[in-house]
Amino acid sequence: MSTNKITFYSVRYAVAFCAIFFFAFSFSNSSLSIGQEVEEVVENKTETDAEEESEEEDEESDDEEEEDDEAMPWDDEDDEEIKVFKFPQSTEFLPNFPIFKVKYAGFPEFKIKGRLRSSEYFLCSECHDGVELKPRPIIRELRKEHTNINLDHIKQEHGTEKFWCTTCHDTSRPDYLVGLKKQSIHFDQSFLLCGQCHSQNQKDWLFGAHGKRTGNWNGERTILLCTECHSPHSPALEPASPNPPPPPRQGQILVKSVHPEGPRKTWDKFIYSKQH
Amino acid sequence: MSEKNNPAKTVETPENSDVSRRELFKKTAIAGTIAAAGAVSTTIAASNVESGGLSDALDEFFQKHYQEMSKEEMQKAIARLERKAKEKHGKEIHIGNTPPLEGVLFGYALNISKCKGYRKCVDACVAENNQNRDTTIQYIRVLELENESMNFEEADHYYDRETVPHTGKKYFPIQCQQCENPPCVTACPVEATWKEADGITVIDYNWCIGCRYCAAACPYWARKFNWSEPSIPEEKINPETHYLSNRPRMRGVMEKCTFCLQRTRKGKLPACLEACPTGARVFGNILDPKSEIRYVLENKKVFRLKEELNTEPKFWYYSD
Repeated sequence: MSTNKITFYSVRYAVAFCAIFFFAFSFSNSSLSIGQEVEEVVENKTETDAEEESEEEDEESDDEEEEDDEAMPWDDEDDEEIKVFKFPQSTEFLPNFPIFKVKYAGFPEFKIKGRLRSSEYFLCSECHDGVELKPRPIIRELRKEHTNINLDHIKQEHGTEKFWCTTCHDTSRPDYLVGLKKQSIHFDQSFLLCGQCHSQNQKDWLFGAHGKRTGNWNGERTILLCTECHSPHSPALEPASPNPPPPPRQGQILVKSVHPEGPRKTWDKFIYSKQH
Repeated sequence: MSEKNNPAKTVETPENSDVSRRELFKKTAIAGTIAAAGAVSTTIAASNVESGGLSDALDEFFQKHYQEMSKEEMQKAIARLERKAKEKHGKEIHIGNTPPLEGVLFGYALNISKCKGYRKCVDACVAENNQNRDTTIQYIRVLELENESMNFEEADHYYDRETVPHTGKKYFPIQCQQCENPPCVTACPVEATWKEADGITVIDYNWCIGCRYCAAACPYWARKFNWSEPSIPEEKINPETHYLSNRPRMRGVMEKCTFCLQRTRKGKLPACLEACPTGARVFGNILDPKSEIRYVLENKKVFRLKEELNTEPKFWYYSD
């Protein structure tokens, strides 16, 4: 058994190293610009690995993200390339906005639509330009700006001591998000940020059991980002009024239950009118 | 009716009974043919007045079953139906005839822990499938249940709350389950309903006689009957239709959910899924091992409704 384990791990690490080198090389050649489809390949798992380790997908996907962070284009070394990115200020610019194509090991390939819902404050760098108005990483009550943001995500579930704007928003690069390991995350890849805590939801989302697909059921898979349905600052969906109920069938009448919270039942109108 | 009583009286004399029976059969046969001819002539006359073409009326009367029509006959029938639909609704309507895709078996999965009971799917379905706006025909019913209960006897699909989800309640949408072993198809006496190759149970509205046996046979209340002539405002008619799904129906025929055949056979998603604001619905090809629905079926705790009836629904419910 031990020899088997050794060979297995040696093969695994060899494959991982090869993959890192390969992707580092491929990213050094890639350039990002508007209107161009940007492929970000985050896959470094071979078929043999997938067969052997299908049970430990969770752990592996975490590992992959760690390793991939080294090769991602938002690394400090590739500063010049990142500056090529420009964001739409309204949805009118969406057709020209690059659509990201992401591959993960084992996950079906998918595309993410650029954000349809954009914040009124975006671009952040218009005010927070790095010189003035430096965002303070101190937990406090906001009084002048950003007062209309509902911060339930901080208050209810996580406690105000641990969480602040700067936990997720990058202070050094205002138009980007920041992960727990201080890596910059693009706004259109917010699933990498959310998945740091909500890993089960992330996994379901990547495979299609959570979230929403649009357009087609076969062919190219396009799915909506987390932030299309969940407000990142208060993620729980708020109660809303439902559409009107169907009328009861002809000749029937809706009757209240004898129990205070019981369901209403349909009765024959004729019989009901005789009894009451 | 009076003649029918005669044999009962002549039972005592067996010699006479045969003769009288024969006579009776003859009489009834003649009377029947006369009545049938009269009915035909009256229907032709009636439809003649409405549509303004005797040939149209005859074609409609002698239109074959969907599965038995040749290509030319189908084209002719569709052209006539489109023409009549335009006369009736005042709008150009395209009736498609896309065949089932090869190697495709449609399946649906619904996450009941995500459904919040907004009924957006219901309205999207009505708008897509040209249902009668006057009556209660809705393919999707959203049941409101107690949070800890699966007792459908105590479910309420007429709930009318200011906001949903109501505390302590959960929501459970039900529509046609597209059974692999559909009891409605077995019940139909004229084979007007059948299961297509992609697993969707469809109805030929022109072949349906409106006996409603299928509605009685369906354990999911998925089949609805047009008691009155459907009325749809002109601007709300969906002109993209399919012969087997959402083309305008007439009075006296059954209709049901077809997983939006007119959309899904062209690769689109069903209207209820596109409308769902919570992303509770997953649709796809269950024969494709890489599809999302297969991930749900293989990795989530799924169940089917009334599984004990052996209807083998292709509609699964799951929760996180």
